[in-house]
Amino acid sequence: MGYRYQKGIPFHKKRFRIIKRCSKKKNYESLDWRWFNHEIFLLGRKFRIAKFHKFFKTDNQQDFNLILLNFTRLNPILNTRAQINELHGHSFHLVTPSPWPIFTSIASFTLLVGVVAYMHRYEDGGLTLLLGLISLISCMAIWWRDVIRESTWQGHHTVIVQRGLRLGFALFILSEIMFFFSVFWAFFHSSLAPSIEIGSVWPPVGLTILNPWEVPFLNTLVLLMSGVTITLAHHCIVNQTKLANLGFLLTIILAIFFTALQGFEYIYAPFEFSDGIYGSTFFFSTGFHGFHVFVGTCFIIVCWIRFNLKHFTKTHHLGFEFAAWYWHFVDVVWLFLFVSIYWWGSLS
Amino acid sequence: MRLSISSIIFETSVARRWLYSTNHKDIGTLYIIFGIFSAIIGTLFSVFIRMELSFPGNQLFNGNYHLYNVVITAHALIMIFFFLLCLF
Repeated sequence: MGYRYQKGIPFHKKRFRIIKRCSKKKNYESLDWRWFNHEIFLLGRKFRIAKFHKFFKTDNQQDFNLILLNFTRLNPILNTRAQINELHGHSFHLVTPSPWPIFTSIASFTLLVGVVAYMHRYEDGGLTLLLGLISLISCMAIWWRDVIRESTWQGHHTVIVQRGLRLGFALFILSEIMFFFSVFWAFFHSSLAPSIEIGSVWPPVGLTILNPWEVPFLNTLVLLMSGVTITLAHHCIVNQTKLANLGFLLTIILAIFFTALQGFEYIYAPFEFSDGIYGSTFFFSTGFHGFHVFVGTCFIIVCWIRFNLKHFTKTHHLGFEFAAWYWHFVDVVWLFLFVSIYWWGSLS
Repeated sequence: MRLSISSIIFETSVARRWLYSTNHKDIGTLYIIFGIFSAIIGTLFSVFIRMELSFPGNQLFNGNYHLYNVVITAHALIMIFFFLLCLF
């Protein structure tokens, strides 16, 4: 996003204004690092590092030393393994004690009990479900707010920490793959050797099913397109152009379009969840996929907001990377759903 | 860091050490305690099942076969997810 400062007033005339805007008092100890980083970010990559010294040169030496020290130590944008290492002797993130793990555990336990109680029609089961859901969402929001504080504003996510986070998210996606594997297993278990009760054929006798080359195929194209647009957003973040906003916008429009189409398919489907094994496997698999699309959409929306708050740099945008990984994963799951459940499952 | 009575109490409190912990050694200790507790519960359920099956006819569960099935399932889940997974 260096476009704002790359034309117009020369760089060297800007520096006083930036310092002045970022510090409320005259001494630079009270510099607001958030706004300072924002301004530095707007300067663009080539000024950020190379002209860093020139940026402060004209102030007196004492202030310069102070700012330089704070800048290299606390600036999350410039943080490197070496700088964090200098700060506390190693480059790992020792997370401070946090109430959110235990709170989230209590919330998810409440949600689980609520779901079971609701499904077994216990009194106040729905209320417990709602309580669990609200508290879980609150815990998630506050926990991830803290993660943003630790990474973007405190600079704890050094290169080595990022490596661990990448591994962690890859393992999370692996567990999701295993989940969907079991869902597909249920489908193929029932469809490869259809039982006598459903007429020994797949799709079961007496069921009208969806034509895969109508809305489902359109959904396939929509998701593939969204994969392209999120890549556009990624490349624009890496190259720091404002076109990333277009990438985000298109991705979210396509995601919402997909969800809407799936919603209409559900409403107008000629079979139901309770229509035997076909309905069960169909709505269970596509329903869980739809839920993952919803989660992915929220993830991308959060990344869009964070992008416009200038949280992402050219080289450090893990949140966005994870959103993209997750989105591609959801995309691939849909391809498998389309090929096996919609297409292969419709061949009689 | 700001020093106040409440912050000192919080910093040294049991809740902060054991409930808000991000220390893998402390979390590991909690896993061991929880795993041993679950092992005892799981073994107790196993004993219930064996007592029910020790003689012909209804013994422990008073003919409540649903409860027997629930205990079987709970025994399995507790032993695998709450005992083995926590301790090994």
